[in-house]
Amino acid sequence: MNMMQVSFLAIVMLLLLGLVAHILNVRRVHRRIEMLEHKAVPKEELLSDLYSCQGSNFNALALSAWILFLTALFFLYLLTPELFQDRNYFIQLPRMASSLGGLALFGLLGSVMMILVVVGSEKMPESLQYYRLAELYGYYSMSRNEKRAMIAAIPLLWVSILISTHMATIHPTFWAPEWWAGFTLLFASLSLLIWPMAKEMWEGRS
Amino acid sequence: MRLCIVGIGGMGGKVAHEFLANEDFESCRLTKLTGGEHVTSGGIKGVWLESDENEAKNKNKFFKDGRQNPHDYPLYFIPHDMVPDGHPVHVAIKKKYGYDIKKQGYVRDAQYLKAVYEIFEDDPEIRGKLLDLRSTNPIFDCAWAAVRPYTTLGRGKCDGILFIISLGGGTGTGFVNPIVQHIRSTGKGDYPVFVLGVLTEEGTASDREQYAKEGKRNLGAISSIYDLLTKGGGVDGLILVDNQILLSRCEGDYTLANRYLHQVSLPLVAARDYPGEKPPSPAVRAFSTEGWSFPPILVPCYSRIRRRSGSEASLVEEALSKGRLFGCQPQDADKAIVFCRGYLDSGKIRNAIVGHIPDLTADKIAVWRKLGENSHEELLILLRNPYGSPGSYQIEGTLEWRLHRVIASAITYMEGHKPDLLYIKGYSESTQDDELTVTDETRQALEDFFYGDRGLKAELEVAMKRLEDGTKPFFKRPLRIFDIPDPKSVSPLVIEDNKTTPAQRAQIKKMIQEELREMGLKV
Repeated sequence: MNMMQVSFLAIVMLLLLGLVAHILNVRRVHRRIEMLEHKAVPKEELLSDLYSCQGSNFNALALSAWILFLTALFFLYLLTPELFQDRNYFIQLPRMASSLGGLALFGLLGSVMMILVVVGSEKMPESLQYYRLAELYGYYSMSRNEKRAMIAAIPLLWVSILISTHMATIHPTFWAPEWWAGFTLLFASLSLLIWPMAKEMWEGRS
Repeated sequence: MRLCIVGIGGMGGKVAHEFLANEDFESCRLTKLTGGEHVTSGGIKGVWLESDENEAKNKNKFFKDGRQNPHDYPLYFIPHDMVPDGHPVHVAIKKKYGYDIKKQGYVRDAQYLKAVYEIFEDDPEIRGKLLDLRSTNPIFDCAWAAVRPYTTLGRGKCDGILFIISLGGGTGTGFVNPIVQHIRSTGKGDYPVFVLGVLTEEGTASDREQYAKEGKRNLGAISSIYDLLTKGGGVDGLILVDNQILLSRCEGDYTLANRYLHQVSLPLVAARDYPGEKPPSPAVRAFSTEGWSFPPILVPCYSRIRRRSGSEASLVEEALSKGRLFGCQPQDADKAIVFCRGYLDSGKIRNAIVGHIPDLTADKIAVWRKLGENSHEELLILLRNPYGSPGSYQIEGTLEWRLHRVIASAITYMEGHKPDLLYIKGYSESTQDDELTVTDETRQALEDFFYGDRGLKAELEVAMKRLEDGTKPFFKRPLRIFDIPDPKSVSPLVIEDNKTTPAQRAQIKKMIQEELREMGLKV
């Protein structure tokens, strides 16, 4: 396994950590509340009481960050054949790659896929409402500074996308430090996006 | 419990700002796209009532002018703007009473707004000049109109009001009673209304901040507290906070103190209630006032500690020992209203409180929980009437001690500043104060109000005695400045001696004896 594959695995692991943390957080809160109430508490009731609106602007920016995240991931790993030699933009979609707006279309493809994930998550039943991406952060207590820090993921992701675009332009030349810079920004952005879940899991462990 | 926060005056506005700050990411362009609303902790809403145009327009950047665009948020209002300059009512009040109801920043006298309210409420001659304003009490109607839309009485969601004021003798001190009375007089007798009053510190430290010297501030404060506590059907709880304690925790920094006040209130106002433990404000009101015919004093005791299992006892211990925001003796409290955030067991909280206050049975303790931050747990206990031990007025750190000193200072001020209080020509020592020239009728009313046999000074002396004896409550008899006869409501009481039965005689005798006892006279 080369370093790039390890880096991809790290991103996937971080993503999974966020998901697992979120599931565990909700379960732990439910368990603790039931223990303190000395009775069963319906999950739907708990979730509706637990949820607090973080604001439309924040929600819009957080969703944009997630959409950009998938786009940046596509650009970093699928644009050039360094990681997936047979599955990348140039080999799989040569006609699109050589067209005028090919790169933009490729980015759009990533965005549309993430939008589909968001829309799909909205269709979750009430008992699984905490998986809805648009409501995700409503289950966490977040300060204004934490929100500002999280939204910093957007410019970081844009820089990562620009780096990947530059690398695609100079391909087959490959400059490792530039790629690692793109990866670091992507990793940092994902860390910011899952920060509330990870923080809650860490602080609520005892 | 979703409260409408109403900051009154300079300090009230600053604290309200902390409560009402937008928790969403702020961007005008993005807001146009998303239609984003102002988000606050617990969905609270609020408004700032101010009397000083300069303070509101030039020094404040947070609240928007409610007259310019009522759709903006959050807003400030200047209630006396409702009466145009030179309006017949402005002129008539000036002529008949000497008061200038358009005076900027209001006169920093405790009785000023009380008098204005009474004039509007009771003087038919003045009311007759108000027809074009479509209001019988325009200043207070305008203030209520600014608050009402956020409440369930309007189209809003707030099921209770929390007024935040400084008891420093300025706008907040003078305005709070009339506005509460006004809300009540519009038939909203059971709508929950609480007041958070911050008593200014002792000494000269806040003279500049409050534009008034200690004695004058204390008279303003005690006069306001007096009215708040004696008006039956007035407020549902006066939450007292001592600025001296607040500042000692915030290294003397007023901005930090305002933030701390907000943090202390989070267990009360924040969202994320435990399932089935979302108390509507009327439930809190009912618990707060139950079994007490006067508006109660509530002393907040707050603690916040790092989360660990079984922390209930430590939180209660910390709150009742080091977390009191006003001097008091917790063991004298007759009820405890607890709001907390964290994974806390309400049974353990009750037990811990009973451990400190053995006289409180479980039914006298209400606990409402919310989820908070994971790292810390918070507890806010509102102790109801935590005073009433004979001799406690001599013990530093008790409510009796603090209020006894404030009352003594107010009485001393009244004794030494009669010309100031009665606006006798040449009274003003300060160059800041524009002298008021009141009419003889007003001066006489003020003299009776302050120095009469049953006036404020006499009542305060009786109250001091009650504090010394540990009697609850220490303020009993409502006071008015003007006795304006209303021809419609005057009905002379005639007791015809030959028609009264022995039972009626006994009843009348008993009533008179009770009244004399209340005046401190031996019967």
